Amino acid sequence: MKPSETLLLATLAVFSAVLLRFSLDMPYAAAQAFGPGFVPLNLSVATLVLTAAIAGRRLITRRHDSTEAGQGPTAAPPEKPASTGHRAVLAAMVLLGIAVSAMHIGGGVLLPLTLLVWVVSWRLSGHGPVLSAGVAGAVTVCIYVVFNLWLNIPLT
Amino acid sequence: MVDMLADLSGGFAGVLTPENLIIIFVAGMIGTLVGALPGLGPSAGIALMLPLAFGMPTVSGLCLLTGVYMGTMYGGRITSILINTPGDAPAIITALEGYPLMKQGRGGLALGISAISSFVGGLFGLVVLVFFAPMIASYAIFLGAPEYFLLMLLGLSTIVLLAGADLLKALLTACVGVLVSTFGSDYISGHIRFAFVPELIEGIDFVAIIIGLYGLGEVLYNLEHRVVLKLGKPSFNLREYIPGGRDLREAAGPTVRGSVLGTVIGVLPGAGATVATFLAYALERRLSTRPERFGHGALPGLAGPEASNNASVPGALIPLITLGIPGSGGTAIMLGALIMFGLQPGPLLMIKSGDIVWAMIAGLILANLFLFLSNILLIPVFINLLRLIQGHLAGVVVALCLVGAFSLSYNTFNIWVALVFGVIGYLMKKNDYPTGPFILAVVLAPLAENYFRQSIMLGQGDWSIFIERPIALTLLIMILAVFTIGIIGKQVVRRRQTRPH
Amino acid sequence: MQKTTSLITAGLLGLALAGPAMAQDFPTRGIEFVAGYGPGGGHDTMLRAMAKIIQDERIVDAPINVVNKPGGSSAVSMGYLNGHSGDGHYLMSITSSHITTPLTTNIGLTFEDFTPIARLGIDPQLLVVNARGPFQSLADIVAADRVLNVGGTGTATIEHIVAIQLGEATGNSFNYIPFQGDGEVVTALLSNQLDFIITNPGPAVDFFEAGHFKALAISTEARIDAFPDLPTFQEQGYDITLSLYRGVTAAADISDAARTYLTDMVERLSQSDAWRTDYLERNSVVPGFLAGDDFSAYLARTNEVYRATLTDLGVID
Repeated sequence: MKPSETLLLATLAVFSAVLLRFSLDMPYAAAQAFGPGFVPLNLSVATLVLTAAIAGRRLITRRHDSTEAGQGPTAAPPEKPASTGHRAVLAAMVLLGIAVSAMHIGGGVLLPLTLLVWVVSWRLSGHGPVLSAGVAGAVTVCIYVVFNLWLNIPLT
Repeated sequence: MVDMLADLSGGFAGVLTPENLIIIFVAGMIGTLVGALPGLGPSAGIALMLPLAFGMPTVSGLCLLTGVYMGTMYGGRITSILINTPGDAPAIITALEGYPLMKQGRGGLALGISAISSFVGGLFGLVVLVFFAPMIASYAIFLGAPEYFLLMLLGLSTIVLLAGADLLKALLTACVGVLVSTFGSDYISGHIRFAFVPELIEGIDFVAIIIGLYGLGEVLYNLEHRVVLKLGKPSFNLREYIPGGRDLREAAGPTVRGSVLGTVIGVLPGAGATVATFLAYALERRLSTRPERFGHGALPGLAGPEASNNASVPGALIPLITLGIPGSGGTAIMLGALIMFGLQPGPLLMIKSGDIVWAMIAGLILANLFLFLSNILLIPVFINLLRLIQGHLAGVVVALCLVGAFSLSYNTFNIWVALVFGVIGYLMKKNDYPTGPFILAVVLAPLAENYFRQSIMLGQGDWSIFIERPIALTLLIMILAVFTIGIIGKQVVRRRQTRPH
Repeated sequence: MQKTTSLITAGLLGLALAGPAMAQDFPTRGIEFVAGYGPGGGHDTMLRAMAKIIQDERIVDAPINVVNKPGGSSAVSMGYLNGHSGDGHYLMSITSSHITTPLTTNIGLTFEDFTPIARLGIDPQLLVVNARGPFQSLADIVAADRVLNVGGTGTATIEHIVAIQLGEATGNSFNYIPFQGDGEVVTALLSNQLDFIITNPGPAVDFFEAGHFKALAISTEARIDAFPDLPTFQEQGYDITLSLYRGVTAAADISDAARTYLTDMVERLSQSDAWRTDYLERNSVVPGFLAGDDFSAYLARTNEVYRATLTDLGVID
């Protein structure tokens, strides 16, 4: 199983396990129909079962594949991980996290947003720092005019 | 019928002043722009224009608001097609089929077809509104919780259609979608589920989810694969943007079916445009001779839902103007606007203030026409704008997504939500987990859950309420038919596929 | 000597004058009206109507700005206002969620953490039936020989509580069904899926005029001007006097000057004709001005009613 799929299934499993724990605090049944805990409880159990089933299936097919691959002389070479791509995504996620934290703490959206667009454009999309700064500036101005001045949404 | 035409021409007489025409035109353009921005849909568009509308005479003010409403429905499709970021919930399907067309360099065609379908859908809905509004409203009220529940179930059964190759993965994402939808206050029991922070008391905002799942998820995916849209150089050759006869013929049937479906479902209070688009999509896929093209830029899958999306606008207005009952978030704010203008929405609205209502309807017809023309003419602008910034899309889309998420409740909480679902969307796309069932479950599951409980309570604990009501029984039979045909159909296909080996 | 006395007198006078002058120092800037829900909602419309009338009628000179702090059934706006404790330049609109949200969640704030300014109006609760149905009076409902279906918005809401109290008062057992909004309740009654509903006047008033619906009782202490022929529950022998309130509150620990200023502002607003015609009548809200400690006491009573109901229903411990 690819690491990204493992991560996805693990995240979903943890998520449903947490909801399962908290749905136990709510009534499962009601006088008529069912209570507020019914859907979360059953669905979180179903989600756990399904993640387990998919993970299990993956493990079985992989074992199956590897035995087959061992027998055949034309075993395909393992897929080369696109390491630069992975790094770009991870960097983007970290950058987004930092930018939103800055918005959260500082209260203003525009400044962190400008810096974010600049860095994304420069480091991840591969434009020069000056051009990227121009793009970031232009985007910020457009957003400020449309959202803040025209629609009165308090971005700052 | 003649009465209604007389009323309508009276309405046109009230609307056809130079100022009103300009207002309707500008309102349509504003609506298109607002609808195109991620996070801002019809509700936000109308609400943001409210202060402006109150400075105007009643008819002009209402023309402004309905023009914006109609415009957001046109606008929602633009960012869906161009950057895979639906501006609002009804535009999700548009992204599902329109964005693949964009990636194939046929974005102009997608925008053109969807504009035409939107126009036809809107026009159909308006015709129905003009001639049959009171009649439809008198029937619609007899639909209650049991019918709504079965309708939601019918919608949920389309998960099988949206599933793609791997049913297990589709079921998993659907289950997670249901879980996500359970957050927040449960009005049936009075409990508040999973409010780990105060912002969760009202649940997770659906629009923040789609901004993350589609918009941010796509950016992350493209960053990894270094996908750069190859759209060529800016060009204003109009022939590039006008759909050919073959494409139009392919889109004709779905547009008509989508129009009918959208009007009918738009009438139902609470169900609204989103459900209509999903059902239209499922219908087209079921009817298609080449269902395997769906998800990779199938024109019927674009045209049907787009038509139903815009047909649902007049549809949602039917209960509003005949009974004073809002059928969607957008019409709920319209209701507030009518009250602020000193009108009394309710069964007597058409009798007491008929002239104003008819002027509003005439305004809607004009808005639909203006919007169609301006949206066709704007296609080259949008396409060329995107060509201009195609190298900088990552930064621009991220910025739009974050600001859009912020605009939902004016704080950073929804940006965090979008971010989390952006990462999940990326992981899902990378590993071929379908997002359709997830989003469908998020929309429909809470409605299904609540209508089911309401039905049982209405029956005082007795389940026979589902088969004693004729419409409910019909829906029940339809659902069984969908499932049977679905399962048999799948096996037939499988047998055909295995035979040549 | 004479001179000194007059100097002292002048000094005292000066001091005495300085008192009111100090009070005039509030507000030092514009007043912010905080809506706990998004643009277009009930809170937003009320505050914008207030702001417009206050400015049109020149009730105060300070500029007024309406801001939306939506989220968490008013929990977000409560947190926001709590962050401005001691500052009188904020006025937040409140209704039942100001009490129910703190009761059903653990946001750590209650109505007591704020300075209640005034109740501006009430939404009385009506018992409404379909005019073509079998029940034409409250007595018919009490005498029904089956369990009746009654609809209202949500669970543990004012509608629900009225239905429960009515059941207790008459000895009937009613089957209460919660709906998501006024519109759905009205539709269900129109098509006879419900036997009667409990609702505020707003969504039903046009249906009375059209002859579709008939109101059988109202939850005020005396008959109201809008429905002079509609008897109260009390008149018919059932002691139910519960109404939804619409009011405003300010941050905790604000100065007396600020409190007086805000109370005076909304009191003069509530006495204006524009407020009565442009807000109250349009939204079918009944006047019910209540300021200061009376309003605080009212909130405390309302809080107890909700707490008791939520506990009985098992929603809270």
